[in-house]
Amino acid sequence: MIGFIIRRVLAMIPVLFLVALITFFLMKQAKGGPFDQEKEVAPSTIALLNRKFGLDKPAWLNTAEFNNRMSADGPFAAVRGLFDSQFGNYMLNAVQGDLGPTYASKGTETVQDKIKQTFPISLRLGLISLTFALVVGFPLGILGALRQNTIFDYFSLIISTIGFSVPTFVTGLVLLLVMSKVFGVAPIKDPSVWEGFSMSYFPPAIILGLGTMAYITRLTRSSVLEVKRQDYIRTAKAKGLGDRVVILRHILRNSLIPVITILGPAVAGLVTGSFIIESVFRVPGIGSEFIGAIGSRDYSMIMGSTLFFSLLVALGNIMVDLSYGLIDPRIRNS
Amino acid sequence: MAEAPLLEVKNLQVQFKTADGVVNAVNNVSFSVNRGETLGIVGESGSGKSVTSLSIMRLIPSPPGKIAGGQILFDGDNLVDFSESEMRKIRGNRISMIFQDPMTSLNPVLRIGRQMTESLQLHMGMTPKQARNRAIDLLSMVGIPAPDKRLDDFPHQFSGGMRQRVMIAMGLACNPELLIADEPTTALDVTIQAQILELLNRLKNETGTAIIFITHDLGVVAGMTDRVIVMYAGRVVEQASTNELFRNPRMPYTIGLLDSIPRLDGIQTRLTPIPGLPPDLLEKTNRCPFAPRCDFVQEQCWIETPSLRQVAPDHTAACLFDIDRDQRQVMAEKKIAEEEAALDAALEDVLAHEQAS
Repeated sequence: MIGFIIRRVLAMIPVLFLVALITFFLMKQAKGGPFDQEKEVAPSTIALLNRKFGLDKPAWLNTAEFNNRMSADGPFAAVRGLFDSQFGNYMLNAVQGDLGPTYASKGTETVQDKIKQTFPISLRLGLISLTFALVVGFPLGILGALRQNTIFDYFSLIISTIGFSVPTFVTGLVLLLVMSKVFGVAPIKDPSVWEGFSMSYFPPAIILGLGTMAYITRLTRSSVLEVKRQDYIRTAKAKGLGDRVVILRHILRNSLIPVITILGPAVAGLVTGSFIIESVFRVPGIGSEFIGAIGSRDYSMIMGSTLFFSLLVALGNIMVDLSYGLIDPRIRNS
Repeated sequence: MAEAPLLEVKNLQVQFKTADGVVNAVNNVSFSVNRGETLGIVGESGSGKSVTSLSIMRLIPSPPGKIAGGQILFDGDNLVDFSESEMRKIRGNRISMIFQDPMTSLNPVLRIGRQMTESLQLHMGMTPKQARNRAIDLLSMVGIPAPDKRLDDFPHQFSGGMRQRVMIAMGLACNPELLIADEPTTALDVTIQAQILELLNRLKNETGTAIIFITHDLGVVAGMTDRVIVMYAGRVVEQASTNELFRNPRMPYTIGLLDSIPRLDGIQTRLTPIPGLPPDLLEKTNRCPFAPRCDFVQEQCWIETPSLRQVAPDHTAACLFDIDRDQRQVMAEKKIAEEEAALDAALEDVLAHEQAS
């Protein structure tokens, strides 16, 4: 078990490195820089800023420095010099837990500060929407399967089809419109409501969770239908157990397995995938911060949040693999 | 026999509604089981054996299945009229069932102990502690070593034979009056089969439980049962004591089944299989359902469905004619000879035709 966790955590390292590599490459392909403004900025100022943040160095490998040090200090120092580049320095700092300054704050705030400040909001939003998706999706799927081809089944089908097929920016805007025009409770202008749990989280969380809820509903339904006709369910009935016990004790746990599988990506998706919803509902979470960073070419913020998201996805998947063992003893022992 | 039978099935009819029409899976089946007796039900796949047994438990998936008629009298009560909750008090308690495939018949995510104790707590009102002790006794009774430890294992930690032992222990948990074993050895390899059969025979003698033993293996029937019914196309076609059936089979289908078992007594004869396939149960016909495959078939067989009639004391068979096993070889050879003659004639015809042109 411990060995399994260690192996999985170690396997995350190359994944994260690859993500960093690709993100950095894509970022450098985009035109423009972090200090471009609408009105002309003096080239000397930009040069100064670039120097301050190390952006005057080569992007990948600093061959000039390599050659310099090779002749002066020997090969060991030369290798260090080779990596005295934007990417090399970023990775060296990141490994030590320093994700660099955000350019938007002109270096007064670090990326990890920004994440610490905005991520709890996105986390709360994600957890509420996940709870919503599970609490609604799972029972709806079970109901659909147990009352197959009845009005309940069709109701669950309609709800999940809508949830799955209508994009969140449509459902989000509609809900926002209803909230502001009919109830007059939106949009929320006071940012302090997002500190700690509040009712304001529910509308964006529900919209965010709709797709996952729909997916869980359909998955649960087909899974329960599958389990329902297994031999061991017939055995349970042959023991004289009542419907409730057969469903709760024998059917549900077995039908959880495929649902758990999608839960890992779903958790990561809900916690990190709230870019659109956060913009629509003006939630000051990490998603809207990320979108802003892309627009302003805030390199270290883009790198930092992308790496953070990847870390979350990877951790989510490890959690899922561990929870399989809790549900299914056959996996636990192998 | 003065005592009323434990189970009496009278004119049972079970239908399945399918997209192609109504399938008459069980037609007018009647039989009885006495207390402590072992009844074998033999037939090929699709002959209605399993549907009959599931009907007794009222576990036919409904819809599409339906008990369309008849009575199932268990200890004098008609189970067909029982409500679902009354039925639940019977299932696993007074009648229990062992299924064919032990690999899939146990819940993979629950410990063996949990699966064994749930019926004990439900039917016998035991506390978890009492139920656990009873489960330990049951496991050692079916020959599972270290039962107190094995109770905390999951099904995948048991082999197929061991799982079937667990199923048997679960079946016997509440001291049922009737145990239905639906092909309990079919999914197991031969040595394990023998062990399981031996176990069932021993437990039968120890507990005095009546058993309905469903199988397609006549060898198993010979070793296990007191009486046998043979089913074909959803009907009972022969019924006799086990000795009588093997010594004096009177229905061509039974004879066919017996002729397709290899003999171990040194007489080398060719195995004679039954040609053809069982009939489609969708169509309702007025002929003998076995007629198309029968070696003894006569004109009358195509216009009349034979019903069970007495052919010897305590021996009934559904055949219009008095036939016996020795005739089959003769009849079969005659049939082959006729076919060959017809073929020769046709060949000659063709040759003659070719010469003429």
